[in-house]
Amino acid sequence: MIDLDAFLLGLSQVAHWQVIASCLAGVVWGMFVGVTPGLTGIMAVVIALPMTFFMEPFSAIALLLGIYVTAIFGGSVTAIMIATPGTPNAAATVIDGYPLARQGKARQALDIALYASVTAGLLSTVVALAVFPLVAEFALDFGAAEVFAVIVFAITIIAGVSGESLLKGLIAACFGFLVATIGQDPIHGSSRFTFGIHDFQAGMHILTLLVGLFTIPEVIIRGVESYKAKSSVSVGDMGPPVTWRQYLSFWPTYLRSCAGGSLLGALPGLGGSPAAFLGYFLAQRFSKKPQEFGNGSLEGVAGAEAGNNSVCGPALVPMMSLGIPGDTTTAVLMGALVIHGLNPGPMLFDNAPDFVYGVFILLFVSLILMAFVGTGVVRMAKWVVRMPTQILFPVVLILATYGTYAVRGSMVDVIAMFGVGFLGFLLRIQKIPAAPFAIAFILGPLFENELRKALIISGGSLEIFVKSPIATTFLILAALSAGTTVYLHWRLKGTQAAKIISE
Amino acid sequence: MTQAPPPSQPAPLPDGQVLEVHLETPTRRGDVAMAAACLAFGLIGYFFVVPAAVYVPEKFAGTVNSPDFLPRLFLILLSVFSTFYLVKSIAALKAEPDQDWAPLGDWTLAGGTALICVAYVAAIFLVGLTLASAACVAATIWYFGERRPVVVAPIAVLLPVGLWYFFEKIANILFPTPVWGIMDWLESSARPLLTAGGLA
Repeated sequence: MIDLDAFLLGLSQVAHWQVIASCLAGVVWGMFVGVTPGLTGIMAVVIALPMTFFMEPFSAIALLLGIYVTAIFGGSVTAIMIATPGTPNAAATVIDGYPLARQGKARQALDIALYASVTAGLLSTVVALAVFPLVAEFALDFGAAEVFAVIVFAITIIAGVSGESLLKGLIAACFGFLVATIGQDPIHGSSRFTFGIHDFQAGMHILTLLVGLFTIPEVIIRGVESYKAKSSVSVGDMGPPVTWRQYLSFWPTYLRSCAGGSLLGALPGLGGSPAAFLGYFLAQRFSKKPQEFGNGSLEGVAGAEAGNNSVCGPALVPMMSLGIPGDTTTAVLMGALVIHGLNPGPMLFDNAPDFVYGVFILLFVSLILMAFVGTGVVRMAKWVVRMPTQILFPVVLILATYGTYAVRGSMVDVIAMFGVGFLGFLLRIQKIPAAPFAIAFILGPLFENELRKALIISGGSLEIFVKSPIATTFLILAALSAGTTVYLHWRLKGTQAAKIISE
Repeated sequence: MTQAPPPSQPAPLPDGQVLEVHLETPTRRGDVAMAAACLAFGLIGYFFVVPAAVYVPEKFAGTVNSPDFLPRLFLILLSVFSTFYLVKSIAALKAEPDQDWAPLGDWTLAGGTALICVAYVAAIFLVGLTLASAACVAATIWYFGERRPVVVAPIAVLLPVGLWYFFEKIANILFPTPVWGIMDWLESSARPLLTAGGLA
């Protein structure tokens, strides 16, 4: 049941002009990043994170949530206009969005993408709000063994984000786990791989790794493209807008895709891309015109966009109730909460229920603001996608450097960021995916901490993981999840779907 | 019927040509080189780096609670996966003739961007973050193909100065002290002007 007093208290904290203004700024920035190919939601959040150090907690979270929600939709603008997903979440949107644009129906595709995103986002937030207290209560039963089992379950997503080659994904994950061990050992305090560099005692900062891994390879590759040709393109006629009748006719699609996306969103470590594909799959499965899918189906765009945006609310549930990030972006959001003195985990709902409700209310606000900003962006889409990359990526390079330096005031972090960036570039040109690297880096310390704590508690016996029903359940789910993903990899190998997922 | 291209397919340019990004096309020879490098990393890490760079209290040596347990475990896994990757890549290379490497021009362009990044970091130590950023953003925009001074110059001036003002003056984050404190000198020279304008 929803605690009405805490809900109203959360509402009163959100209802300040500073909070709404921060949220609007986040929505605008998220939209800008989303529509810019190569800039992802995680990069948008990462670049904005240092700015939040000097803000009130609610304003800071409002800014980051605005970015988080909007960047997912923003990515579909370039996916539809130039067949280039602005973010990985928009990978499924391109399948039907780009053919629609080529047929002179770009405006309809963009409109339905926006409306499906907002509708599914609002629906899934209601679901998350209703379920959160139950999950939070359940989370109180979690000890080291249980949390370790959940982490193992989350780690299985590495197989899901490995693209065409599971082997390459596993190699990337090993690098991520290894980089995560740099710094002081969490139990004994021994130095590991610091090589006498004092700034590495606390380990590599998450921002350093993420900026290096995602931004620098993008700058290098886009630089080559920019030099060879200007990136501005034209898609020709935008066509008529979508009608209310068309929008309303897709309601069953929104509901189905939203249900699938919400389910995946609530499971730690999955994120928006698989949800978009599930949404697209469900839309096609129940469509009266399945033959249109792949050739320009508005329903396909609606299914994919409803799927990826319905992840946002439910993804916050494991993050806030268990302290387990749903994806890379929620991992950074979690970091922001910690920076502001709020520790996500089983006690958060007991200690600050108004804050928890406030966060979900902010999601609502972000989605409504996104509808207004998105309408403007859809109208300006032709000009937005013409932004010259020759200017954009040098600016991104500078912002990335300042953002990395500002976190700890350390030039070692800046050097490490460029080092990780060059490694990321080498991995990328051989199609070794960055996502497993990042997920392993984020989950690695949790994995090690909880495993070792559980083993200390049990005196070194592995029985602790079998004695607890929760731990056993999650370990079985992990085995099933890994097994299913490996099986799907084997079945999809070489198909168009596998290629799209890998991109 | 129009078939949707995969997202990797580049967007058509205004003149109808298609831009190819050769750098992102993995080659079988590249796979072999990458697999060998990963394997070497795993083995060198396990046998030489971990013993030298991880301090293990004697009491915990060889146990799951040892600080070197997880690094060793992941280095073993890395070596195993890299061996599979290497065997698979060699088999693929033998089965089919390898495609060409990316054109030398692409590598030169990518290497040039990397060199700008290295020079940028070196310049931060020498002249400070603000001036180095001004030079870097100008050089990178120029290098990426935008050569009009009227476009490059305003960005090269306004962006670093704006960031300097935000971080140093508003957020109170001190920038690294450079060997040649040109920015400090500029700031002290301009202080009367800044004070008059209410910016100091």
